[in-house]
Amino acid sequence: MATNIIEVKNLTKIFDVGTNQVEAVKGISFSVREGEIFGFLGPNGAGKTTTLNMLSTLLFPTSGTAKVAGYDINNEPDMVRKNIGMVFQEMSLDIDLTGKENLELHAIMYGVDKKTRNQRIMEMLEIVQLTDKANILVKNYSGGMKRRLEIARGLLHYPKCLFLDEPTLGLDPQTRRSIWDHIKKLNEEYGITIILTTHYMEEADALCDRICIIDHGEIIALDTSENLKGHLKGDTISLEFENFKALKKFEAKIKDFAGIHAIKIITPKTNMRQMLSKMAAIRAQMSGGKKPPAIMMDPAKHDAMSKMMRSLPTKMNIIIENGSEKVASLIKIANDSGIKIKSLTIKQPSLEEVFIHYTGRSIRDENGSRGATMREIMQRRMRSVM
Amino acid sequence: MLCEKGDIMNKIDINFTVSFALAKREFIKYLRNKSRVITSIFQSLMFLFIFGFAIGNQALVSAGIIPQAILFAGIFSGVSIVMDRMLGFFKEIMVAPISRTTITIGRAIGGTLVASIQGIILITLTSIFGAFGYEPLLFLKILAAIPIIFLTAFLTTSLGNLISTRMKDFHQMQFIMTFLIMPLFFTSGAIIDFVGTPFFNFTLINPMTYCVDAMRHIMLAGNPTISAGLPLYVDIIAILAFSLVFIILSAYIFRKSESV
Repeated sequence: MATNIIEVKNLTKIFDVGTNQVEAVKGISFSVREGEIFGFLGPNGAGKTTTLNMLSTLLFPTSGTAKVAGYDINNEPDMVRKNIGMVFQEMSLDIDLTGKENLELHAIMYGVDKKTRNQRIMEMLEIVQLTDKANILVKNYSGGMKRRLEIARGLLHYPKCLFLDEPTLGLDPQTRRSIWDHIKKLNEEYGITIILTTHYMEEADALCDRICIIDHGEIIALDTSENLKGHLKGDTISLEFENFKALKKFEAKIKDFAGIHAIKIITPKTNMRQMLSKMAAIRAQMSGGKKPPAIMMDPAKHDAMSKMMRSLPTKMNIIIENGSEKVASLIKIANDSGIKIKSLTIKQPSLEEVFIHYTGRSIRDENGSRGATMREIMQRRMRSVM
Repeated sequence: MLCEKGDIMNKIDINFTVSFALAKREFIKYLRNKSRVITSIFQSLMFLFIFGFAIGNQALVSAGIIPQAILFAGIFSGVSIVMDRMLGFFKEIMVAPISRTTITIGRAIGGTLVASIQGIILITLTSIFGAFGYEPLLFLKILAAIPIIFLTAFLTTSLGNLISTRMKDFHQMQFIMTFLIMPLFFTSGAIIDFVGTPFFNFTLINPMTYCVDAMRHIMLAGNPTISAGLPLYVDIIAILAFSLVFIILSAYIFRKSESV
């Protein structure tokens, strides 16, 4: 049985924000086994980075404790620091130095022997494939190269575990994949325990042995990806109908169908409330006047009406046990009642569904666009500057 | 989040190897930053021509503006930690298993070196342009002034470090220029000689007064028309005392400040 490299007990962090107190981490307890890739998954502001900062002794917990690599974070922070590697969410390299100089300074700060220093640096550069870029100023590195150099730096003093805070935030998909490969290689070939935070589902799924879903400072679920998905009894069948009416009719028909856990109607992107208020206005207009309402005559308005009708939901997700077996009978119900199904897909549960299941909302609600992410980064940077 | 707990912050253990490595970093960065080197040389020349040759009494003013050029360079080196904080490198230092005193000392050494280089450039240029007159002993005077340059650089860097502990971004730089650097500059007696006037006693609270006075002791030695205000040993003790107060204070505040 593998030993635990990190043991966390009732770790709590309360920030004073003005006169308010914000409980960023609410008494969490967990442990990380030696040699595993352990991931914190949660939306921004869930408490992932705060937890990581406490484990790396950058912040002191308000209460509770943790042992990292056998040392207490409250009483032996210097020993903890010597035994961990840290890659921050934001770039923390000195861009006016070369890659090698950055690593040299790190080696000196962590007390790496002068004799082994150079050899160690070369070894790490080799792992992240930056040997030929060693003597170039970091300001001329690409985003992915900087990230790799930071990982190399984090490993330079042979830490027992490596903390990665959002390792692929802001990187393009190709670079992201290459970083994943590096992380996996480190774990498999060198046996380094890796603790990472992410709000990318696919990242947690692709990398982590165990995933800890964290939201509002609390651990909501902690298990392997497979087991987390296993908790969701059933597959997701996504159906698309010709119109809202057909969807409603079908929904009524399958109400008593055995094995269905949930029916979720997918709302189109247009603002539902705005649309409904427009509809109400049109309806009022139609019932008010005695003459046939203008909307019936005016082709332009007619168009607007049908456009609105089109923006009503036409898709639904059905969470159902043994979806692939039941799908035939669902189609039969539709055919019998003359409902046309435009498209149909069956999906095994993904982490996305797992997240929705546990938190009641999608992780992507908050992390939609790249613009939002960039703003987030800027804000975070400004905050750290203030 | 004050770090009252945790011995790494409160233990005074200084790792000089790390301090020197951090100092070396600042020095490399200074040399690589060509605009900073050029700016410092140009600024020195500007000081020299505007204050030295235009105001008259060249020797007196030239000896006075050398510490001022170091003041600007030292404060800038001191507050460059704000730049590190903005660019993210600060975190790498903060998570390393080194004490904050080690960091403070490293910064002080690095800043002192950089500011000293600027002082040495200026004193060389001033001498070449003949501000102190050409005499056989001039070379020896310059050599003797170098320790004073280092002391001044140490003092101003320590002051810059102290400012940086409370400075979170560069917007506050203007405030510091107006309310700190300029008053220090004008009341130090660099341009106007306060010696012998009642105002001189007031200028004794300005650490730069001692730097200017010490520089005059050395560069104006043997000049019958100008006399320095205080004995040289008093100047040196005062500079060291001010520096130590600044550096201890900044190390203390830094140790108690937040990590992230």
